[in-house]
Amino acid sequence: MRLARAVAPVATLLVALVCWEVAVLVLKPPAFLVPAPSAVAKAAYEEAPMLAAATMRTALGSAGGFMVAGALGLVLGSAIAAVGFLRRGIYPLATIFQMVPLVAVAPLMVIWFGYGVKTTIAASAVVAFFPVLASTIDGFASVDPGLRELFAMHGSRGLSRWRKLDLPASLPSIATGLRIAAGLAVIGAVVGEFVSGYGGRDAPLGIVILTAMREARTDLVFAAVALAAIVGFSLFGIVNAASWLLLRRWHASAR
Amino acid sequence: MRPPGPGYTIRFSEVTVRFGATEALRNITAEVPGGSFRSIVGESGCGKTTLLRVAAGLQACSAGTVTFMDERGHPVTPAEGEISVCFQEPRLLPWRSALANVALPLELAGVPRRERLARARELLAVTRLDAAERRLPAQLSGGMRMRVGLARALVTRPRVLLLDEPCSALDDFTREEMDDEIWRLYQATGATCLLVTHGVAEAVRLSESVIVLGGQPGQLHAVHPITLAHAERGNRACDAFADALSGLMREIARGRAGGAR
Repeated sequence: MRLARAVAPVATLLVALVCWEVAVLVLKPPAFLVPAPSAVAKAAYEEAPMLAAATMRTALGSAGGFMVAGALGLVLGSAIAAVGFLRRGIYPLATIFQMVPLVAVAPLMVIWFGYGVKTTIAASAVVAFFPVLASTIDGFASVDPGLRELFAMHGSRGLSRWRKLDLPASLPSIATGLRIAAGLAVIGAVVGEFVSGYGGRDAPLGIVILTAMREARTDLVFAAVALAAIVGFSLFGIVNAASWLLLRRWHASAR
Repeated sequence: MRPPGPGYTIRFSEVTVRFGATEALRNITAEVPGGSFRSIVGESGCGKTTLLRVAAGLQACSAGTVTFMDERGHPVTPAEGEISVCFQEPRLLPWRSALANVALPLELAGVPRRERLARARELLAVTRLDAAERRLPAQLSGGMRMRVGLARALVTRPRVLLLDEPCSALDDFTREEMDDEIWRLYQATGATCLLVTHGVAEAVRLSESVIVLGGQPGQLHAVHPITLAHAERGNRACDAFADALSGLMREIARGRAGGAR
């Protein structure tokens, strides 16, 4: 059944690629404007070792940023939800900070973390953090009051209650936040790479894209963008699978 | 199964509860003798559940006190787990199996794993859920979920069992089954039972006397005895049951008329 559902979108994608290929054959646009899919694939094949290394670096930056964002969001979200004055003091500020265009913050990450993967991770974490924070706070706020009362009657509070009630009850909400964060983490990482601009042999996908742009290697730009998308898709897939494994037995969202 | 000692007596003395400006209960004085089964009935909104929550320690009194007494009449402070509540909704953790849900109160009290699971299995056997111990709440029927809630309430060997409309969400047939179950467990444990219910037949089926509340704010209208033999309780079709039922209904009607005056 799952496989059958994948057929339609994959077929659509293939048809779109064929149309694109045919359009380029017929209209013959300059290759630096719109390369044919076959040209993109050829460029990807020729530059495979370099692209593979770049993809690994971007994946590392995205996954690192995602994990930092996930851990910080979960810990701070739990603390904010649990402590009244934090909830009143920090949460509104956090919501306002979310309005800051985080792409604009990326240069600040360069100032703090220098040129390299640390900046990529930081930029990625900054972008991915807020959905996790917000979904954690929401999840904790919507724990069934009846269950809270039950735990209170048995004198359970603090870390024990967090582990046995708040965290599992919030998991469906947190999983949604993490799914959003997975996509954002890659965006943050690529933006971080754009501004941190470390390059040469160690170039991640963001730099490959910029360099290829300057050299009018549009085929390479497309190849790198596709790979960045695959990184995002993989991260999303991993989070999705993990949340399905955790929730499938008891939560409607995973059925 | 049985608690370490007989059920505590619950004494409400001049209990008044206010929520802000609205008064929910006014000046309730009543006693539930140790080891007896008593119900609280009355129209919606007359504070039945509030009175139960006062006994559970979940609701503070604005005035008056609730005290628990042992069999010699000495006031006691119940230890954790000596007072159990079975709520209107079973309040099960959806990610835990029936067994783990029943074991939860012991787990929170720090009872070692092997011991608490053995005890939880014992209760699942008593409530005839042994075959379902690994199932999640979503995989159980409404009546089974309720029985898990009941098993969980009994797992700490309570001396007082407070039941807040535990059967209101069930269909008639399942409710009758649950009532028989509750009666059986009551007889087996010797705990003091206090049941809030909308069901007049349920009150007759289960209780030795019924606290009739009425009015707004809720006031004590009467404590109505139900004098039925064990066999008569189990048979809703018998004349004695019908007499007891109409007797209680008349009492409730008088309470209503009194409240309107």
